[in-house]
Amino acid sequence: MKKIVRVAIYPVLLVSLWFVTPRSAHAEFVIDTFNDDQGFITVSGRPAGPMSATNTVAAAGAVGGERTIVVKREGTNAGYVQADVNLSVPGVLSYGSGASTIGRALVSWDGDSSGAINYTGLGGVDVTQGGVNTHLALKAQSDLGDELIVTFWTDAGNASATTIHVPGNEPNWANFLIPLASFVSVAGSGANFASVGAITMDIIGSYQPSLDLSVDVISVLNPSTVPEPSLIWLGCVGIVLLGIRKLLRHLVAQPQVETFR
Amino acid sequence: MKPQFNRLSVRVAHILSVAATVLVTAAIPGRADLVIDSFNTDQTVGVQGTPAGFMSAADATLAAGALGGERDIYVERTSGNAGAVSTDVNLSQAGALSYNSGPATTGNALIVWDGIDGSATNLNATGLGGVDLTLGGANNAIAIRAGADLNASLVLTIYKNATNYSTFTQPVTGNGEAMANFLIPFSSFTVAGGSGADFTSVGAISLKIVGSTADMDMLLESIKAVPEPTAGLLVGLTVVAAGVTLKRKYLRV
Repeated sequence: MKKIVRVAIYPVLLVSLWFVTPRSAHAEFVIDTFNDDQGFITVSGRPAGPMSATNTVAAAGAVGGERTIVVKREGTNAGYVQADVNLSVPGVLSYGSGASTIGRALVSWDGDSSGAINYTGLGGVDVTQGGVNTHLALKAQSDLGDELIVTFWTDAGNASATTIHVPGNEPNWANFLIPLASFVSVAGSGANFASVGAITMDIIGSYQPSLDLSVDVISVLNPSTVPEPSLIWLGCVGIVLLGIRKLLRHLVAQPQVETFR
Repeated sequence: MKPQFNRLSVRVAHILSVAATVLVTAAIPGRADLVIDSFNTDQTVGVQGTPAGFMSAADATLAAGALGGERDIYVERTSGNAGAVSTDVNLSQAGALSYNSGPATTGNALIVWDGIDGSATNLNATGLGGVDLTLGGANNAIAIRAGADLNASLVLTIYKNATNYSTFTQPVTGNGEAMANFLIPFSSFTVAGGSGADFTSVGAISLKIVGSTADMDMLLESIKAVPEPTAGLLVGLTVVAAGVTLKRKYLRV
């Protein structure tokens, strides 16, 4: 019996060690989990032509503690353009426009409850977390496909942006990892990612009427320091299986020893 | 010889085209569509937001371009989330009904033409007062022009009265909202109540958009009673084609 306990203890110890051993820091700066309800922000009906609606909500899961969404109809018709967060789909920002209707939605995180963007509202937050985080991570899907523009603002005069082409193959999610180094300066000398005053995400529905586009969590991270959950679990399962195998082999071997005795 | 062939071919083609015209004309006696809805009158109905789960909304709108002078729309969300299901007429697209459901959201829309009753939730099965969809026997089908981005279906019901009605289900294949013409012969309808509909005496018409696929967008551009192209028309067209071919052949000689 002692021998069984001795054999079984090793895999248990190994699994425990896996969990308690300090690994590389799980660095991730979450911009928005999209877990806080917002919406529906809708423009619809007459008068036909350009129309907009703005909404700001307190959002614990968003940087700066609030999220502002401006929805715009840009076409000449009277169709609808709308956005919501955590209502159509939990943890997701959903954008949709009606038949023959083009529009866009501008999402901003600036720690400011007014509708206008406060380009220094986040107070110079370091999204790189001391230089650790190197990539913008984002998950999106669309039925027809269109573009997203994510912009980091250090202040009103200095900003950098990246354009993300979301493919039209809903319901498949596309994962994007964009190096901060690939962002293009769109104002002044570009953004200082170690001192960010506001972040905006522009859902461009201008090219596709009747567009549906959804965005899941958006964050800044270092892909090499974020452990892949499936790998951890696979490792654990492997160790446990090895332990069970060893234990079973021992138990099978045990009676034979006793018979000979 | 060549000129004679040409003269002959022209004469043959002429005879064939006259024959074709007679056939086509005979196939469509008094060609006159009966418009059920031109979708030219503004209307919007939708549900969205919390509480999550089933939600419905209804609207009755006076509509000059609709049979009976009023269009009723009832919209319901059938999914368990808080997503949007919306319908508008003549707003997203001029002269069209637009149905949309949001991500992960399913629903239905019921459009009813039952005369001016001011209610979108109660169907007046005799509200149209016995309208003759056949226009004295000229029409024998319902034509619908529709398109959807994802698979859906349309359930068309024709009522004689509350107990006698017939129905037809038309699948609409998702195809990027490309518009398609659906022709539903009266003879294709199945009896769903009593002895079925009498297409010469219709009391109400309903069209249900079944949006059991989430995130579905559909456009309806028109619905009307029309003469179905018959065998005579097809023969006529064949004769015309034969005439044209013959003419070209002789002119080449």
